[in-house]
Amino acid sequence: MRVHFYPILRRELKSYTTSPTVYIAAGLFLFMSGLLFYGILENFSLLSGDAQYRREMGFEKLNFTRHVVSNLYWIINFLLLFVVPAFTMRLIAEEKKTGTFELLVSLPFRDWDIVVGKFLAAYAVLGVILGICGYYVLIMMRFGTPELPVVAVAYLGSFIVAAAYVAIGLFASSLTENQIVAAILAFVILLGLYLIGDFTTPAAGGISRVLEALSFRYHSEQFTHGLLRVQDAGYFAVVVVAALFMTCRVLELRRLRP
Amino acid sequence: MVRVEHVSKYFGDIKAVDDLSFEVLEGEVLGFLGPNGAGKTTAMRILTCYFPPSQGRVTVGGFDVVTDSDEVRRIVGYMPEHVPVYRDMTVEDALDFVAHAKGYGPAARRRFVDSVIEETGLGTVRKRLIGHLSKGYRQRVGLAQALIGEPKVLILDEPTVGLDPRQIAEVRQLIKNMAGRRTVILSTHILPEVQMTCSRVVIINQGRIAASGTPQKLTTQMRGGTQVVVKAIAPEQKLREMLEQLPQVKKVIPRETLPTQASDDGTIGDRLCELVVETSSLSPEINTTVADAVVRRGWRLVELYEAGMTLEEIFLRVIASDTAEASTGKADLQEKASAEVMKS
Repeated sequence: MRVHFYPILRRELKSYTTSPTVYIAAGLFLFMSGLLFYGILENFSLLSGDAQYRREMGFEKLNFTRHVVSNLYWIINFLLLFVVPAFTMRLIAEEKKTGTFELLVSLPFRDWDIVVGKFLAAYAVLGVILGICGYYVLIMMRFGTPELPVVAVAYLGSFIVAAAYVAIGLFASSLTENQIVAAILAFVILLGLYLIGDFTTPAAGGISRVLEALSFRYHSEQFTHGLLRVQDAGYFAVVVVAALFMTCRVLELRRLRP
Repeated sequence: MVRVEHVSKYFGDIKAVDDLSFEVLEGEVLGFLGPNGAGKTTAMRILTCYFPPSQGRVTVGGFDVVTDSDEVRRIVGYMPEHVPVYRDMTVEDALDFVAHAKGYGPAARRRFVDSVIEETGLGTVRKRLIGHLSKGYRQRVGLAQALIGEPKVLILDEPTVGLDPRQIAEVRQLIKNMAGRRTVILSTHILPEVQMTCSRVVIINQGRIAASGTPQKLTTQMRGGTQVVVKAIAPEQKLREMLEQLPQVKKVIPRETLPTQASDDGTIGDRLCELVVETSSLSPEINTTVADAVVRRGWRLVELYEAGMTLEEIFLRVIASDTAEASTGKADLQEKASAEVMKS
């Protein structure tokens, strides 16, 4: 199959660099994650200096990896739920609203080209922002001794999780002409998939275990613990492909409707 | 260049385009005329591969719009209605994107962008954001987007809507200049536009072709007779009677009677009357006949001209008769149906 998404990717990246929404959302994300990272570090230093408090909190032994690294990436993955819709909402909704979608499909692109180009553009922007989060690693190395393989897996995990979020955000954006609706829809779908496994208890079996296996939270937490498993990465890969595929189908709906 | 064969398009139960067939030759400018909602945009969207036809076959430059849509889209430049433009891009970037999408390398893209900017007069705004441009300039950007990559076929959906008169004239001139070099299909409901720019017209109504041909052919076909407007200073009643007795004249329609300036001695003179003389068949000599007759009676002929039927009138007439036909057809069907019900 001929691939021809590069023009779309290039155009989207260019328009991301001039979009105020992107800078505001990115700033907010970095501010919030930095603030919470500071809180995690402060909490850890309090715990490590106060054996009494430690006992009260139920942590006899302190583990930097568990208390800082895992928490940090859990926070990052959680914040992404709120931030990704802000990045993806305009992708297709805006083109439908302003009518440029009609221009786009009159150019020699396949629907796949449009979807993949837009996905990669949004993912690249998110990649840059997650890349900026790399300085948390430097801070951790400066003030503690994190287990670097765990950090690497957890960090990689955030990139993997972000891909699934972006794909779903793109899908939501294809469903409507209204960017706000697209953002809310994306957030609702993401939060739903995140929390879907939380109704389960460790003792329960059957359907609740299935729900757990379908949830973002369950799979993304494996990464934050430093566990890189095929089924978790595979789960997110399936989510990405499924969301992109559904987006293509939505774009095709124009063939049935005026 | 463009061949449309028995194309229909349904949206659910709604028939947007109904058995449309026409052909556009290379270098021709085809005007696509019809009231709002007649199916113009739907037909154009089929031509530009936005969606496939429900029935029938469309080829552009020999390529089928369904099976070879990539090829079709590479040789077609399309300016949709309402002129979609990327407001957050500069003129240059937007044009570069279109050229990039059509698969051209950096050098070719630069060349195309420069030539199109020159052709559409966007030189002074090439580095400005499109969102900051006036409507007229945005329209030109839309046209420039369609022109990128020297497309063989240009499809323009209402290219002059919302422009001021000077800009409209410019766009029309631009389209006129392309005649012979490019195949152009443009839709509009502004009739002078068609008369000025198109070599052939297709009038569509309710998804079907109501009439087609050159503007001249349509005019003669539809009007059947000649209309002459006579302005003379004369007693109105007598003038009318005299004109009605001329051979060939079918009817005389009074248009307006204006008082002339009262003469110096205070008496009221004859009035300036305006009449329309309609003949039963085409008769070019009616002008001289009328002029001679008026002058022979000693009246003063002020003005005499042939009132060509405008495309506007043709359009209204075609649409009216077409719509009436369609509804009588429906009534027939209903009668048949009820008759059958009665039988059983």
